[in-house]
Amino acid sequence: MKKFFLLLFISAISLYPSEKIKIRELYESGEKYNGKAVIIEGEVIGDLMGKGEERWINIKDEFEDFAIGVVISKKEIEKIENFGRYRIKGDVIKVHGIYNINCIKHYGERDIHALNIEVIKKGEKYKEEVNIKKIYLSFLLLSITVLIAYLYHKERISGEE
Amino acid sequence: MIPQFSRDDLKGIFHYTGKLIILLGYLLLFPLFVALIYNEWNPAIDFIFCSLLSFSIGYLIIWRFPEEVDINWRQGMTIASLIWLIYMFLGAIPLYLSGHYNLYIDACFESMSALATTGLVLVKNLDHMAHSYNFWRHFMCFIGGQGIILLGLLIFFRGASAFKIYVGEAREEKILPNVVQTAKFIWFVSMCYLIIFTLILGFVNIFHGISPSRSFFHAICIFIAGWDTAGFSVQSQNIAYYHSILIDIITSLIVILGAISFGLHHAIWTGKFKEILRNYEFKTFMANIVLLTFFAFIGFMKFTKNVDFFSSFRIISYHIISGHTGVGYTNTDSYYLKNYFPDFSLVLLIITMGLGGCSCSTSGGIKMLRIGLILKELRKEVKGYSLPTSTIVIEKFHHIKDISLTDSYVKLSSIILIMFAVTYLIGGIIGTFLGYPFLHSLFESTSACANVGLSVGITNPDMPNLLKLTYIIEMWIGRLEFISVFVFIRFLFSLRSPE
Repeated sequence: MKKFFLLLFISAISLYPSEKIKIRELYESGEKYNGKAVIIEGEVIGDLMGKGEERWINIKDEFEDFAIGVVISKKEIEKIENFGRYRIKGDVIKVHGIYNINCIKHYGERDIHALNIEVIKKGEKYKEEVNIKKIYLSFLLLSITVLIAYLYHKERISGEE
Repeated sequence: MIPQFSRDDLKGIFHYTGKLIILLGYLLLFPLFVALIYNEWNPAIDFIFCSLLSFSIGYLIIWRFPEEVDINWRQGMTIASLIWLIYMFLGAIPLYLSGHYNLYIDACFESMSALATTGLVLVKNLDHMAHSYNFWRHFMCFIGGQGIILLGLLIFFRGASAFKIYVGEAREEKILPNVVQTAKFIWFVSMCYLIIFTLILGFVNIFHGISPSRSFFHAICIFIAGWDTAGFSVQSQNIAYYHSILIDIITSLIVILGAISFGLHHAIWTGKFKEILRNYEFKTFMANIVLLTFFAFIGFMKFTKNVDFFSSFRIISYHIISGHTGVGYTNTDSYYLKNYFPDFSLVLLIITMGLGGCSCSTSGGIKMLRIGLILKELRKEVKGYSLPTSTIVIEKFHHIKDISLTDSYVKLSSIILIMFAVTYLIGGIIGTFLGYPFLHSLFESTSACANVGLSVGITNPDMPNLLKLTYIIEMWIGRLEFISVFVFIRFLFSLRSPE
């Protein structure tokens, strides 16, 4: 019995990674982490997808263009409120899960099967600031365009006459 | 000696170029409309600005060059080449203003990639891009894939001029007796498929849990990029974003439809279904996909560890279809191609990309009809040597109608094949010179020149500007299939001293 608990303890430790890694590393040195537990952080982007008990989210490194699909359970969905897109900064979450370069269950997807997720920074909506200078410039351009078009049509009509 | 461009030539070239720039002004109103739907005010101002800029430049040119003249061959080819560069520069402005590109050259790269329906991208943080900018990226694929000139044909060009400018955009096939009717048919078919597949993809996205408004936005963009074999996507993960085999299958179908000749589409639309079984180019194309998938799959299974049978088949078949049709969609990522595709499969993928889709389609590369004709010629030669010397060997092939293989077909096909092969190689050598492995450089160069868009990771915002420029030129000449670009270069020299 002691041996069993010892083995269980050792496997639990080996499954739990000591420190978080960047999503980039999963792409660049994927084999090192394949089939192992990893901890990553990233912003939830796009849409919540999937039906039933298993759902898909995509998370992206906050500072780099690396994103990866994460499989989460239905009960974890409630933790996520904001999905990043234009004018929305998505929730930044910490994912602890098993990384697969070619997930057999999902027909070869590169994914992470989340064991648990934790929201570490709430996302938010932000307003876009309208650039007034661009508006002035557009009005100026409009005047120029109208003037040139007028001159062109005037010459064309006089030419036809 | 080839005659120099005259001042009259210049008048015709500039007049029609001006008109096509005005057309861009109108086209920029489409993303403006999207911006208004999604209340994206800053992008809306950018599109108004760029639209007005196009109108003002266009009107300025036609004001200075008001004469409508009949276009000759060299004028037609020069207009076709020139207008693609101008559209690249002007189309890149809203992209650059979006703030998603490090440099203007990056935006130009993306703009040319869209217009030439390549699909290589330098965009940053695509997942937070405004709908309207993202739509513009895809809409440029539609404009370029269908053909800038083809669109112009519906509006500006008439009579003999129409065919001369139509050929300049690498399309010599007249599906209907009149090129304007041909242009109308191509647009009609495209719009029909647009409606059908936007609905299908939209409902599939809803089924996957995406909200209806986003589902249909994604659907229209995916269709455009697939049908026009561009391979852009709304999200940074490309098709891998959807984690769906169903999306893989639908997009494969769209890209195959996009890569087959509009002549074959016309036959199907007019009820001549037997043409599918008889068409020499289509048969070569499909046989190639099956054979190359088989061999690439064998190579992948042999050299790549820890991948099961079905996953391997899914990844390999999708990439061979993607490469052969020239779409460049991926259901994995560039690092996967770089790290897990064995050299054997990469080489087959390079061949696949280099060969390209069918003639008179939206795909790039050498084109299957030309490959088929060269193979036929080879067979004819072998036959000729095997038979008595007095025997005349005649080879025929069926492409919409029965055609006898003539030297002129083979000559032109061989020239284009050599030009493509040399350009793939030059791009590969430049990449190697800049420090990338030769196989990867050749892969990326072929992908750019054949307007595919698959990447092994070389294409990124941090790559050297020289390589960005190389790929821009490759995408441009690859899309226009060399001849019109050579005529354009001659035109540039003529500008110094027109006769």
